[in-house]
Amino acid sequence: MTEDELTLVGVGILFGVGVYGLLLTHHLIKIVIALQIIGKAVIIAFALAGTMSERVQLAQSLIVTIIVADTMVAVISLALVIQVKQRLGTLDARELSNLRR
Amino acid sequence: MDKLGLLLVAAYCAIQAIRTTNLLLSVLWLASVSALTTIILFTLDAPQAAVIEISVGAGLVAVLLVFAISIAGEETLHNHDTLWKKMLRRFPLITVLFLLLWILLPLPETQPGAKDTATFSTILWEDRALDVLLQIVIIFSAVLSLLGLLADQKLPAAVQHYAAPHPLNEAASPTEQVAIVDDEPILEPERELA
Amino acid sequence: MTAWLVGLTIGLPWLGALIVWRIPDHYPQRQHGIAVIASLLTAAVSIGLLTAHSTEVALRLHIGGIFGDFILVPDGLGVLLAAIAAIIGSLTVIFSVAYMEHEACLNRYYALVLIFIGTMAGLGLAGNLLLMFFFWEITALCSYALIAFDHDNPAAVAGGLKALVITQLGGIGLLIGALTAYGRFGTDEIAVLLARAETLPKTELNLIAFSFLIAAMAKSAQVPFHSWLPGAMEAPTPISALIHAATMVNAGVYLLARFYPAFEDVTGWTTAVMTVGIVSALMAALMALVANDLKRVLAYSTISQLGYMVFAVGAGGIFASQFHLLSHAVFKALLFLGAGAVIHSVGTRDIRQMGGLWRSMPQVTIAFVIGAMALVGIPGMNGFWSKELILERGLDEASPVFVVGLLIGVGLTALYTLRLVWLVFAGTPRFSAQVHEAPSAMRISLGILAVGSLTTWLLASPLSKMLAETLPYHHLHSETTRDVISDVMAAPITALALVCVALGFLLWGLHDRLGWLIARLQLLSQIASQDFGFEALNRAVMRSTSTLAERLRSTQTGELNWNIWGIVAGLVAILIYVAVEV
Repeated sequence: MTEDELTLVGVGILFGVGVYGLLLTHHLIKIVIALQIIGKAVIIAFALAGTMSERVQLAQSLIVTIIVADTMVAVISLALVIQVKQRLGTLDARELSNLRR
Repeated sequence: MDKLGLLLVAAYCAIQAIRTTNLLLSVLWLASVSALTTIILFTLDAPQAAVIEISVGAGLVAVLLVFAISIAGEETLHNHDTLWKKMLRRFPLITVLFLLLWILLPLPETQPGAKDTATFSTILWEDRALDVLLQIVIIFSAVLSLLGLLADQKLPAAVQHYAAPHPLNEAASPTEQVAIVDDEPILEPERELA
Repeated sequence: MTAWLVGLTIGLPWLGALIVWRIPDHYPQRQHGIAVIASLLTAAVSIGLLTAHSTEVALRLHIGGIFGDFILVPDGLGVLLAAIAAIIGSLTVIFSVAYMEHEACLNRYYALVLIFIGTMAGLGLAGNLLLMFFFWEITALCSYALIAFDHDNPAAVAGGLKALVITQLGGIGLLIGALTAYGRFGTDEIAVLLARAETLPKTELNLIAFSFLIAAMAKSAQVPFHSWLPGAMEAPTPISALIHAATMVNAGVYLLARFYPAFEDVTGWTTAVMTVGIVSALMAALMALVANDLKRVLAYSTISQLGYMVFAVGAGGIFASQFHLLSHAVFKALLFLGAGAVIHSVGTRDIRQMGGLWRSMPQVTIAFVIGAMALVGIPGMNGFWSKELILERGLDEASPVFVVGLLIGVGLTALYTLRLVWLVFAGTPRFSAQVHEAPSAMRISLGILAVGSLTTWLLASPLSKMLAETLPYHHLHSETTRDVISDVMAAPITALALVCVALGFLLWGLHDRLGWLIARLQLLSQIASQDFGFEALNRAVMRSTSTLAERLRSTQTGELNWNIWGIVAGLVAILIYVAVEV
């Protein structure tokens, strides 16, 4: 296996950890953290793709876009978390569900 | 190999961030994932992206998380495990399976000759001008909605109606109870209209 | 210079919308004032733009990346649409000052109207399919938000949603066509599609042509997608005048006219367009004949007139269709605003509860009758010349069946228009409210539009010259007003049309003695008042969609972890597929 492929395996592991977190947790803040971990894995994957295709600059500009979007997701979801805590008094995602089943 | 090693360390930090019950510790582990990501980006020849990652990812997001935790309070949840939850805990197996599949895939051949000649700033500001424009719009709307969300305002009547019969309101402590104004007209949820 | 004109026509109303949006509700005078100023300035700029028409790209917005540049081209079709939107828009805003007095949330109302005006201008001027699609969708959103302006009224909300859903379905057609063209040419510029349409493979050209036709049918409320327009009549009446009579519904006709040169050789396309036009014109005219809601009658008449324009495009009469578009925009806006003045003072929309209004509101009556005469096609009004041009085109290009259909439509138009005018303005009052003449802001708009209905046909030669000069792919010949007059006067079909009009009038005059005939046609009138079953079809589609959604509800537990499981399972499935394939 080449070094690039090994790095890609590492990216996969980091991504998998993030997904694992999303699968396991019910804590609203933990959900945000897991999303951030997934975002980091994606960023590294983009940079890796950039070095492999020798288009690092393009990859960097895409990474900047991803970071901005990811941060905005975190900002808005944290604001929502605070609102949920203040209005409903819980940080448990399970207890928010009000859907008719 | 060094990159794989760094990634494995980052994955360890990420697992700790998810497993620890202390939220502040969890944020610290996340910040270290971010720092390791920065180093990896440097080794992948992406210094500008690395700088933005360390300042925004490790700095801004961590600060925001700490801020949110200090407002929302450190609440740890009890995991009352069901069969379903136990199955979820077997998840690492699935992750491994998924990784094996990933490794099985041959990497796509990269096309020579498609090299960038332009610098980072030219690409960002000229080729991807639409992206930058949309990012500005996103940031702008995020700021607006943040202001709206964090503003300390009275709930609209419809939300009160929605929130009122919810059992959680009774469970919440009195200081966190939502102020319900009785003289506001209560709107029916939209389902009734259809 | 042209770049500035183009930019200002789109930007000025948007800027005005931003300002109006920020004015709170306790300053209604400022809200009215800023809206009027912004719309009048836009109208002035758009008149400047009319003189600056060209085929050159006036404004190029570099957006980078793969989609190329966004371009705005002030060619004849585009500036006509932009000018209609801006001028009729400013008149409806002036009318709204009186009509919307004492209403709440005026900032939302005016902001949406101004956004709409700017967007409509942009839709006309867009030189890319993608940009055109954006503007197309924004007009639909404005229309939805304004129909549902009174959001405490369930009928208004339902009407808005219906309009949104149906026009969005059409929007998908536009998107499919645009993406197909982009996929083949690597650029989405309209000029490229027009120039190189023959080089496309046959199936792809067919796909583009018919998906654009569906988009146009949904936007222009043609059968079977027409049922949103009567529902949209819950909007405040100035909105019905601006969006649902004079501008947005013309976008479909505009789209067909714009791409006619690319699609005219597609097998069956022109026949399909003509059929859609004729069927809509006749069915809507029948429905107008049996409707009892003043605004619904006008809505059905709009569908019918749009049918004429669609037919004209199908028959290759680009100039005739655009000329009728101009005439129709003016006289239908006049009719709607007149109806608004009537509804505002009587307080009902049911024409069975009106009558005798000419005594109490003579000036509105005069304006409305002028509009009605233009709709019927009485010689000398703008509607006469443009409609006769369409008939003449039909006689030259289409089969006799179509021509007979057109003539029956003319007779029906005369019949339902006379019925409407008679029931509303003549006879004895059938209501108890105290009725006064309309306020001056309303009369200003009505007066200007009435003068327009009498005179816009004089613009035939500049309009024709503009279209001929700036549309290289349409191969149009410039016609002077004198040519138009002599053509229409010499054509035998003009006399036939006038006979049909007279027959229509006669039928209404004799309707007391024709009881036996009306009894025979009872069944037809019942079917027509049930919207020919299309309303039931709509409801069936809606019911089945919501039943399906109800069944699928059990998959949505609202638990995040469950959703993530689904995502991961999907990802694994894709990976397995890719691994097996590679």
